[in-house]
Amino acid sequence: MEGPAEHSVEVTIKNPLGFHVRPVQRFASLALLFRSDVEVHLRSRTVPGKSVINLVSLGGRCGDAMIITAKGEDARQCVEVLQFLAESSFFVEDSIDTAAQPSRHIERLARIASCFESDIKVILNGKVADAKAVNSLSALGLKPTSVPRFQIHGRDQEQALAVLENLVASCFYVEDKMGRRPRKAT
Amino acid sequence: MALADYLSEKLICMDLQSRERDEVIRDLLNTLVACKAMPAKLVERALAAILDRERLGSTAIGRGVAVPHARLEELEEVLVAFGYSRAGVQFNALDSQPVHDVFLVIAARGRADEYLDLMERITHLVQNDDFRRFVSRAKGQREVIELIKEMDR
Repeated sequence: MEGPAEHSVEVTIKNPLGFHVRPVQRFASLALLFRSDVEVHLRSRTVPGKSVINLVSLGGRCGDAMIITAKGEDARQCVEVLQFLAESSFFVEDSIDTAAQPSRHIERLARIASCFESDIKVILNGKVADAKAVNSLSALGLKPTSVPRFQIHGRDQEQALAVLENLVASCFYVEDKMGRRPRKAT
Repeated sequence: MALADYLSEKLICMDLQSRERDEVIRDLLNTLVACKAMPAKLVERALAAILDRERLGSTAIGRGVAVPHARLEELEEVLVAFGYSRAGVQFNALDSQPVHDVFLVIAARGRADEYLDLMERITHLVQNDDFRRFVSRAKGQREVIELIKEMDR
C-alpha cells in the first residue's frame, strides 16, 4: 500500500524582521486547517509547523531558507498555500507598497483558491464568480471587508472552505482592515 | 543579551489581577513606568501600539504564554516586563487556552536582530514545561529571576 503523500518546498524568508510572531501566527493558523502533518526545517532544526511557539523558537532571519514539508492526504495543497504565504512575506504589510496593490485581496483569494483542485465559486450580492480567476473576481466588486459565500465541489472541498473562510475572517490579511469587522463569513 | 539582563525583580508581576487582556497589558506597562524604565507619558501610546498589533493576530503563542509587543519610535532600547496570572487571561490564542505567562516587549525601532534574539530566547524558555510549572509555584520575583538565569539557554 502507498504511504501518505509527502510534499516539500524550500522558500526564502523575505521579511526584514524575519520569521517573527506575526508571520508565524499566520503560517500556523493556515497549516492547522489541513489534515497533513507539517514540519519546518531551518538551520539544522526541524519543528512542527502547526505550533507557534516552536516556529518562533527557530529564530528565522531575513534571507534564511526554510523547508516546508507536509505529509498526508492534502499535503500538496497545504505546501502550495504555505509557499504562497511565505513568498508573499506572510502578508505582513509593513514592507509592502500597499498603495500599489489595491487589489491584493483579490489576488490572494485567486492564488489560494488555485491551490485546490475543487471547483470554487464565490457568491456576493447575488453575483457569482470563479474564485481562481482574477478577472472574474474583479467584476464581483469584492472588497477586503466583504463577506462572500463559497460554493465548492471537489475532493478537497473541506480544506478549501476552511482556508477561504480563514481568509475572509481575516479581511484577506489586508492589515488596515483586520480586526475592524466583527462579522464572520457564513 | 540574556533574558535576565532585561529583567529585574521589580519588572516581574507575580499576581496579575485582571483577567482582561487590555488591563493586563496596561498593568505591565505601568510596571515599566514604576521602575522608571519608561516615562509615564508613553503608556497610552504604547498601549495603543500593542493593541494595534494584537488586532493583526493574537500574540498568544500557545502553552499558556503570550508575548504582547510593539515598536515605539520614542524608545532607544528594548524593554521587557513579565507577569504571571494564576486565573488566566483570555488572549484569543490559536489553541483557545487562557494565558498564564505574559512577556511584554517594547522595542525601539531598528533593533530587529536584538528583538528576534529576545523572542527566540523567550520561546525556548517557555517550551520548557519545568519553567512554567516552577513559575506557578515561585514564592517571589527573586525566584523567577533565578529560574530565568538558570534556564535561559
